[in-house]
Amino acid sequence: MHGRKAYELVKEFADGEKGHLKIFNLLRQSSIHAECFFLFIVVWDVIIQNELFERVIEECNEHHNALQSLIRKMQEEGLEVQTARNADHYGALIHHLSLIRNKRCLMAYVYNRAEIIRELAWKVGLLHELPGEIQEKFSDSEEQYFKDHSKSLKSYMSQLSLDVNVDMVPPKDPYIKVRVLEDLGSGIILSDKSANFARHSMHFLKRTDAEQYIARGLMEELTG
Amino acid sequence: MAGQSDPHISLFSAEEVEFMAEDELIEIVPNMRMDPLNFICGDFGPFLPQIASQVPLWLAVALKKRGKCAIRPPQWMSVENLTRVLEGERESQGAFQVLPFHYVEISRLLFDHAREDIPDMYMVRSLIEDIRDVRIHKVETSLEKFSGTSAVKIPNLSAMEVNIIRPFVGRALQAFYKHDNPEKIPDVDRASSAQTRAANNEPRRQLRR
Amino acid sequence: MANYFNIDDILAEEEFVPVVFHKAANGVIIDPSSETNSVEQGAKVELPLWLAQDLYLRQAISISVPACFNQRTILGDERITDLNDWLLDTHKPFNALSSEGVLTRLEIQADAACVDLKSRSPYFYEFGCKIAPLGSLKVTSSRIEESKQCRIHALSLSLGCLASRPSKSNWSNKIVSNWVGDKTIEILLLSAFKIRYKEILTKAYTAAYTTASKFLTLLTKEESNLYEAAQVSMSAFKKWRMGGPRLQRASVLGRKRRSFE
Repeated sequence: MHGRKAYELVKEFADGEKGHLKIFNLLRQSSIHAECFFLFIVVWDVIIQNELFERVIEECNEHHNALQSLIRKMQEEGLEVQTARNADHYGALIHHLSLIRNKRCLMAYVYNRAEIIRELAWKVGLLHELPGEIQEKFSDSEEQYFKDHSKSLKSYMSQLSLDVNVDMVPPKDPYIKVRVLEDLGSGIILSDKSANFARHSMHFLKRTDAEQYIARGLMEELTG
Repeated sequence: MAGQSDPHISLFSAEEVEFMAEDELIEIVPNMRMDPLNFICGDFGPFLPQIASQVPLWLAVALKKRGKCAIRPPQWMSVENLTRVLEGERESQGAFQVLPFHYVEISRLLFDHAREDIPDMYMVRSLIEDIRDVRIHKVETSLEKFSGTSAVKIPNLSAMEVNIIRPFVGRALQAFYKHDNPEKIPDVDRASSAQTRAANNEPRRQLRR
Repeated sequence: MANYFNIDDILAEEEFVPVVFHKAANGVIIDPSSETNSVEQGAKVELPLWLAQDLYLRQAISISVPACFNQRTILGDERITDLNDWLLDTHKPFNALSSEGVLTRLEIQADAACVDLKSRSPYFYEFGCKIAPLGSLKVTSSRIEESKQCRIHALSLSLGCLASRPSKSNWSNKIVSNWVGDKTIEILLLSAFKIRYKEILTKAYTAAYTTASKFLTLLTKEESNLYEAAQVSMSAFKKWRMGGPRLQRASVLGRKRRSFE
């Protein structure tokens, strides 16, 4: 059925957890993803799925060609393409509608992913590279998109001289107590101190310094 | 960072509602001497030992944490008043008693940071919890009465209560509106514009008659 | 345009509608019964709504009511078929329906809250809203058989007494030649939503998740969005009330793998 692949692509996005990225549905990434699965059948399934995006584009081309050949046929028969209402016209119309539908699905897929990608800048922060498990889900252009987006956010913030992506939760105290969850070593220099951030060590840090580490799951806030 | 307020789900997170409540004024009794503080929201102080003064709640809590003052719990937080309110809530099924707009947040902040300043703290806390539970239950009952597009008026709801039901009520009203007024479904626009498009494709000779 | 990128809107338009082609179409493979790659005039096929909608507006096809909007969907009871047969077999005057006996039976079946609407169509309401306005256009689509008319009419009668009792007598006058111009679907959507809304409300705020999870599988997309909206804001409030760390690992990073220990 027309538009079925495009539907599957959108459905795949819809079935994912809200606000989470899945691997971009292109063939070239299938091998990375396949490693995560043990069952052959699942791997097979993933490879089939991962080319969906390209398949839909191919389908668009097929519709385009079919549309053109039907119009050419009408012209050859000496019909006024604008007004003629024969079987070729309705065939062309169906291809035209399918093209538009496929386009909408592709656009929605890319658009909704882009929304999640922009949110990453706010939720995970800009001061470090994104964790690998997220980056590998990007397509090439999405990777570039995130870089460009972060860059313009950063330049905006430096013009304001204000970090606009801290304090997303209304702050209470300027300093908080944290525990380090993963060995970060002593190479980290925070705005007002540098210490050895060994795993399980506890520190009293400036909240704005600690936020990005907490958001990445490298530290946790201690209360009470 | 790590913003927990999700614009898709709710307008404000509970933390943000609490943040707004922290601007409410409350009376403190300082035990130190301090010059007036000039904030964007106004001037507070000077602070003199044993002389009561009105300050925003966030400042009161900050001073309290540092042992610089005692907080005077507001009038409405007395056992008598709360008992009366609770009775009122239980008696009238439809109406809600008058309580401060931020009573949920203010009471929580005071229980967390100024427990020794509240007389009968445990009694007060359980009364407020009961009041809140009764009220939330009443809100749910009143929501059950929705059956079509209508303006919803529930007077005396507090900030936190409104915030809890906002996402649900917003969606539900939208759905009722949509199904009650099928001719107003935005999709009709699309259908009718497509219709005019189809009409425009008709031969135009008739018009020129 | 507002909905152009909307995922649910796109998925809702993928629901299938039974259609009859009034015009032939060349060079397309959408009729599985056809051997050539074209559709004959009079061919009966199922098309996704996004395609059917436009073809219908260009008067190339006629649309009939998709199965998910027949009355058993909402009343969810086998007994309703009895009524249906009764209607078809005897062709009794419709106002005989208002006799108390039949009405009560219909009212007993009003537990529409327990009907699995999701399996009928996960986009029951959105789909309905999209297909309903198509009926009000001036196109002859009288290909709906008499049985369907009767069924739909039985539906509007039964819904009439569920939704607004006083107006039931009006229903018997509203025997329209086909579903076009009839408000059947609109009424169906509204009554279904009215009845099910209450259930969602009580389940969302009071029921424990374990008891609600079975109920959740019966909900359409719009309904489960509503349920979630209530659930999420309530649990966010409870979390705030408990206190604890205000800053947390970004949920977008997924669950924490326990790298230490």
